[in-house]
Amino acid sequence: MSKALFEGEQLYQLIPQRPPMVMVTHLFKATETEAETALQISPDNCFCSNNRFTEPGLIEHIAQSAAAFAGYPHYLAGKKAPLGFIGEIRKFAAYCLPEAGSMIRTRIEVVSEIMGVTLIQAETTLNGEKVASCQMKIFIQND
Amino acid sequence: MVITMFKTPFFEILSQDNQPEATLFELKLNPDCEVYQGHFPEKAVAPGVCNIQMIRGCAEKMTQCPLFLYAISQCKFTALVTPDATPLLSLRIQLTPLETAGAWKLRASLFHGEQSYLELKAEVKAA
Repeated sequence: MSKALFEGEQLYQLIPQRPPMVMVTHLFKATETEAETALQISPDNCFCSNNRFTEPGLIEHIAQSAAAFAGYPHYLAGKKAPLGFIGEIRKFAAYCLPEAGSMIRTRIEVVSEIMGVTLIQAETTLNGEKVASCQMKIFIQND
Repeated sequence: MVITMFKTPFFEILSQDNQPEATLFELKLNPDCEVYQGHFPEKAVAPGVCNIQMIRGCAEKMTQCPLFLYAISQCKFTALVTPDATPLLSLRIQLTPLETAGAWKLRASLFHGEQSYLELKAEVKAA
Protein backbone atom coordinates (compact mmCIF):
# COMPACT_ATOMS: atom_id res chain seq x y z
CA MET A 1 0.00 0.00 0.00
CA SER A 2 1.27 3.47 -0.90
CA LYS A 3 2.22 5.85 1.90
CA ALA A 4 -0.43 8.40 2.86
CA LEU A 5 0.16 12.13 2.34
CA PHE A 6 -2.01 12.75 5.40
CA GLU A 7 -3.10 10.30 8.06
CA GLY A 8 -5.23 10.42 11.22
CA GLU A 9 -5.23 13.81 12.94
CA GLN A 10 -3.09 15.30 10.17
CA LEU A 11 -6.33 15.36 8.16
CA TYR A 12 -7.62 18.06 10.54
CA GLN A 13 -5.45 20.44 8.52
CA LEU A 14 -7.63 19.72 5.50
CA ILE A 15 -11.17 19.28 6.82
CA PRO A 16 -13.26 21.27 9.32
CA GLN A 17 -15.00 18.22 10.88
CA ARG A 18 -13.83 16.92 14.26
CA PRO A 19 -14.63 13.79 16.27
CA PRO A 20 -17.07 12.13 16.41
CA MET A 21 -17.76 13.33 12.85
CA VAL A 22 -14.42 12.56 11.19
CA MET A 23 -15.06 10.05 8.39
CA VAL A 24 -11.76 10.13 6.53
CA THR A 25 -8.48 8.86 7.98
CA HIS A 26 -6.10 8.84 4.98
CA LEU A 27 -5.35 10.97 1.97
CA PHE A 28 -3.16 9.02 -0.45
CA LYS A 29 -3.25 11.25 -3.46
CA ALA A 30 -4.52 14.71 -4.42
CA THR A 31 -4.08 16.32 -7.81
CA GLU A 32 -6.05 19.18 -9.37
CA THR A 33 -8.72 16.81 -10.63
CA GLU A 34 -8.66 13.68 -8.49
CA ALA A 35 -7.97 12.32 -5.04
CA GLU A 36 -7.69 9.00 -3.25
CA THR A 37 -8.69 8.65 0.39
CA ALA A 38 -9.51 5.98 2.92
CA LEU A 39 -11.37 5.43 6.16
CA GLN A 40 -10.24 2.97 8.76
CA ILE A 41 -13.63 2.12 10.26
CA SER A 42 -13.38 2.11 14.02
CA PRO A 43 -15.93 -0.15 15.77
CA ASP A 44 -17.05 2.85 17.85
CA ASN A 45 -17.69 4.96 14.74
CA CYS A 46 -21.04 6.69 15.27
CA PHE A 47 -22.33 5.37 11.92
CA CYS A 48 -21.65 1.74 12.82
CA SER A 49 -24.65 -0.37 13.73
CA ASN A 50 -24.57 -4.13 14.39
CA ASN A 51 -20.86 -4.03 13.49
CA ARG A 52 -21.59 -2.61 10.01
CA PHE A 53 -20.72 0.82 8.64
CA THR A 54 -24.07 2.18 7.43
CA GLU A 55 -25.20 4.14 4.34
CA PRO A 56 -25.15 7.65 5.92
CA GLY A 57 -21.56 6.95 7.00
CA LEU A 58 -20.63 5.97 3.44
CA ILE A 59 -22.12 9.21 2.12
CA GLU A 60 -20.36 11.28 4.80
CA HIS A 61 -17.06 9.51 4.06
CA ILE A 62 -17.41 10.46 0.38
CA ALA A 63 -18.31 14.05 1.30
CA GLN A 64 -15.30 14.37 3.60
CA SER A 65 -13.04 12.78 1.00
CA ALA A 66 -14.15 15.58 -1.28
CA ALA A 67 -13.60 18.07 1.56
CA ALA A 68 -10.04 16.81 2.06
CA PHE A 69 -9.47 17.10 -1.68
CA ALA A 70 -10.86 20.67 -1.64
CA GLY A 71 -8.89 21.54 1.49
CA TYR A 72 -5.53 20.38 0.10
CA PRO A 73 -4.82 23.49 -2.05
CA HIS A 74 -5.84 25.68 0.93
CA TYR A 75 -3.31 23.81 3.06
CA LEU A 76 -0.61 24.28 0.43
CA ALA A 77 -1.42 28.01 0.44
CA GLY A 78 -1.07 28.07 4.25
CA LYS A 79 -4.79 28.64 4.87
CA LYS A 80 -7.28 27.04 7.26
CA ALA A 81 -9.55 24.20 6.09
CA PRO A 82 -12.64 25.76 4.47
CA LEU A 83 -16.20 24.88 5.51
CA GLY A 84 -17.95 22.87 2.85
CA PHE A 85 -21.53 21.73 2.48
CA ILE A 86 -23.19 19.09 0.34
CA GLY A 87 -25.64 20.76 -2.02
CA GLU A 88 -26.90 17.66 -3.76
CA ILE A 89 -26.34 13.91 -3.92
CA ARG A 90 -27.11 12.13 -7.17
CA LYS A 91 -27.02 8.52 -8.31
CA PHE A 92 -25.96 7.14 -4.94
CA ALA A 93 -25.80 3.36 -4.84
CA ALA A 94 -24.78 1.23 -1.87
CA TYR A 95 -23.78 -2.33 -2.73
CA CYS A 96 -22.87 -3.60 0.71
CA LEU A 97 -22.19 -2.34 4.23
CA PRO A 98 -18.52 -2.80 5.23
CA GLU A 99 -17.68 -4.49 8.49
CA ALA A 100 -16.34 -2.41 11.38
CA GLY A 101 -12.56 -2.70 11.48
CA SER A 102 -12.15 -2.73 7.71
CA MET A 103 -10.59 0.01 5.60
CA ILE A 104 -12.57 1.43 2.72
CA ARG A 105 -10.91 3.41 -0.07
CA THR A 106 -12.43 6.14 -2.17
CA ARG A 107 -11.51 7.68 -5.48
CA ILE A 108 -12.81 11.17 -6.15
CA GLU A 109 -12.84 12.76 -9.59
CA VAL A 110 -13.90 16.30 -10.38
CA VAL A 111 -16.56 16.32 -13.09
CA SER A 112 -17.00 20.10 -13.20
CA GLU A 113 -16.37 23.23 -11.20
CA ILE A 114 -18.65 26.23 -11.73
CA MET A 115 -19.11 29.35 -9.54
CA GLY A 116 -17.89 27.75 -6.33
CA VAL A 117 -19.89 24.56 -6.86
CA THR A 118 -17.83 21.44 -7.48
CA LEU A 119 -19.45 18.36 -8.97
CA ILE A 120 -17.55 15.21 -8.09
CA GLN A 121 -17.87 11.54 -8.96
CA ALA A 122 -16.88 9.10 -6.24
CA GLU A 123 -16.41 5.37 -5.95
CA THR A 124 -15.74 3.55 -2.69
CA THR A 125 -14.22 0.07 -2.59
CA LEU A 126 -13.22 -2.54 -0.04
CA ASN A 127 -10.42 -4.88 -1.10
CA GLY A 128 -11.15 -3.92 -4.70
CA GLU A 129 -14.90 -4.71 -4.42
CA LYS A 130 -17.38 -1.89 -5.06
CA VAL A 131 -19.06 -0.64 -1.85
CA ALA A 132 -20.76 2.60 -2.96
CA SER A 133 -20.73 5.24 -5.66
CA CYS A 134 -22.34 8.62 -6.18
CA GLN A 135 -22.09 12.12 -7.57
CA MET A 136 -22.08 15.09 -5.24
CA LYS A 137 -22.36 18.84 -5.62
CA ILE A 138 -20.30 20.55 -2.97
CA PHE A 139 -20.18 24.22 -1.95
CA ILE A 140 -16.95 25.40 -0.44
CA GLN A 141 -17.21 28.53 1.71
CA ASN A 142 -14.16 30.64 1.03
CA ASP A 143 -13.27 33.36 3.53
CA MET B 1 -35.01 -0.51 15.42
CA VAL B 2 -31.91 1.62 15.36
CA ILE B 3 -32.90 5.15 14.49
CA THR B 4 -29.88 6.85 15.92
CA MET B 5 -26.42 5.67 16.79
CA PHE B 6 -25.52 8.61 18.97
CA LYS B 7 -25.35 8.31 22.75
CA THR B 8 -27.44 11.45 23.04
CA PRO B 9 -30.20 11.08 20.43
CA PHE B 10 -29.98 13.28 17.33
CA PHE B 11 -33.74 13.86 17.30
CA GLU B 12 -37.08 12.84 18.72
CA ILE B 13 -40.44 12.23 17.06
CA LEU B 14 -43.12 14.52 18.51
CA SER B 15 -45.95 13.13 16.39
CA GLN B 16 -46.73 10.81 13.48
CA ASP B 17 -49.78 11.42 11.31
CA ASN B 18 -50.55 8.64 8.80
CA GLN B 19 -52.45 10.21 5.90
CA PRO B 20 -53.67 8.27 2.84
CA GLU B 21 -50.97 9.61 0.51
CA ALA B 22 -48.09 10.14 2.92
CA THR B 23 -47.07 10.25 6.55
CA LEU B 24 -46.30 13.51 8.29
CA PHE B 25 -43.88 13.55 11.21
CA GLU B 26 -43.19 16.45 13.55
CA LEU B 27 -39.61 16.24 14.78
CA LYS B 28 -37.40 18.00 17.28
CA LEU B 29 -33.64 18.12 16.92
CA ASN B 30 -31.52 17.79 20.01
CA PRO B 31 -28.81 20.51 20.12
CA ASP B 32 -27.01 18.49 22.84
CA CYS B 33 -26.29 15.54 20.51
CA GLU B 34 -22.53 14.86 20.51
CA VAL B 35 -22.40 15.12 16.72
CA TYR B 36 -22.26 18.92 17.10
CA GLN B 37 -18.94 18.68 18.94
CA GLY B 38 -17.45 17.93 15.55
CA HIS B 39 -19.89 19.38 13.02
CA PHE B 40 -18.68 21.99 13.45
CA PRO B 41 -16.75 23.03 16.56
CA GLU B 42 -17.43 26.71 15.80
CA LYS B 43 -20.95 26.37 14.39
CA ALA B 44 -23.53 23.64 14.99
CA VAL B 45 -24.97 22.46 11.68
CA ALA B 46 -27.00 19.25 11.38
CA PRO B 47 -25.03 16.99 9.02
CA GLY B 48 -26.98 16.30 5.82
CA VAL B 49 -26.33 12.59 6.26
CA CYS B 50 -27.82 12.66 9.77
CA ASN B 51 -30.96 14.16 8.27
CA ILE B 52 -31.00 11.29 5.76
CA GLN B 53 -30.54 8.84 8.62
CA MET B 54 -33.41 10.51 10.47
CA ILE B 55 -35.63 10.08 7.38
CA ARG B 56 -34.74 6.40 7.20
CA GLY B 57 -35.53 6.05 10.91
CA CYS B 58 -38.96 7.58 10.39
CA ALA B 59 -39.58 5.43 7.29
CA GLU B 60 -38.81 2.39 9.47
CA LYS B 61 -41.63 3.52 11.77
CA MET B 62 -43.91 3.25 8.74
CA THR B 63 -42.67 -0.12 7.40
CA GLN B 64 -42.13 -1.62 10.89
CA CYS B 65 -38.89 -3.21 9.66
CA PRO B 66 -35.24 -2.12 9.33
CA LEU B 67 -34.52 -0.61 5.92
CA PHE B 68 -31.49 -0.65 3.66
CA LEU B 69 -31.13 2.61 1.74
CA TYR B 70 -29.59 1.14 -1.42
CA ALA B 71 -30.22 3.96 -3.89
CA ILE B 72 -30.64 7.73 -3.91
CA SER B 73 -31.53 9.12 -7.33
CA GLN B 74 -31.44 12.66 -5.97
CA CYS B 75 -31.12 14.39 -2.62
CA LYS B 76 -31.16 18.19 -2.60
CA PHE B 77 -30.09 20.15 0.46
CA THR B 78 -31.73 23.53 0.06
CA ALA B 79 -30.91 25.20 3.40
CA LEU B 80 -28.68 24.56 6.41
CA VAL B 81 -30.38 22.99 9.40
CA THR B 82 -29.12 24.55 12.62
CA PRO B 83 -30.39 22.87 15.80
CA ASP B 84 -30.20 26.03 17.91
CA ALA B 85 -32.18 28.25 15.52
CA THR B 86 -34.52 25.67 13.93
CA PRO B 87 -34.97 22.65 16.22
CA LEU B 88 -38.54 21.94 15.04
CA LEU B 89 -38.93 20.26 11.67
CA SER B 90 -41.71 18.66 9.67
CA LEU B 91 -41.04 15.58 7.60
CA ARG B 92 -43.34 14.24 4.91
CA ILE B 93 -42.62 10.71 3.67
CA GLN B 94 -44.31 8.87 0.84
CA LEU B 95 -43.56 5.17 0.37
CA THR B 96 -44.67 3.44 -2.83
CA PRO B 97 -44.18 -0.33 -3.13
CA LEU B 98 -41.86 -1.41 -5.95
CA GLU B 99 -42.41 -4.59 -7.98
CA THR B 100 -39.80 -6.38 -5.88
CA ALA B 101 -41.42 -7.53 -2.64
CA GLY B 102 -40.20 -5.66 0.43
CA ALA B 103 -38.88 -2.69 -1.56
CA TRP B 104 -40.26 0.83 -1.76
CA LYS B 105 -39.73 4.05 -3.60
CA LEU B 106 -39.25 6.74 -0.95
CA ARG B 107 -39.92 10.44 -1.41
CA ALA B 108 -39.32 12.75 1.52
CA SER B 109 -39.38 16.47 2.22
CA LEU B 110 -37.90 18.04 5.33
CA PHE B 111 -39.28 21.51 6.01
CA HIS B 112 -40.53 24.01 8.54
CA GLY B 113 -43.42 26.22 7.47
CA GLU B 114 -42.46 27.64 4.09
CA GLN B 115 -38.76 26.83 4.47
CA SER B 116 -37.59 23.68 2.70
CA TYR B 117 -34.40 21.95 3.89
CA LEU B 118 -34.14 18.67 2.05
CA GLU B 119 -35.82 16.82 -0.81
CA LEU B 120 -35.03 13.13 -1.14
CA LYS B 121 -35.85 10.62 -3.88
CA ALA B 122 -34.60 7.18 -2.96
CA GLU B 123 -35.26 3.46 -2.90
CA VAL B 124 -35.23 1.32 0.23
CA LYS B 125 -35.73 -2.35 0.94
CA ALA B 126 -36.25 -4.49 4.02
CA ALA B 127 -32.78 -5.10 5.47
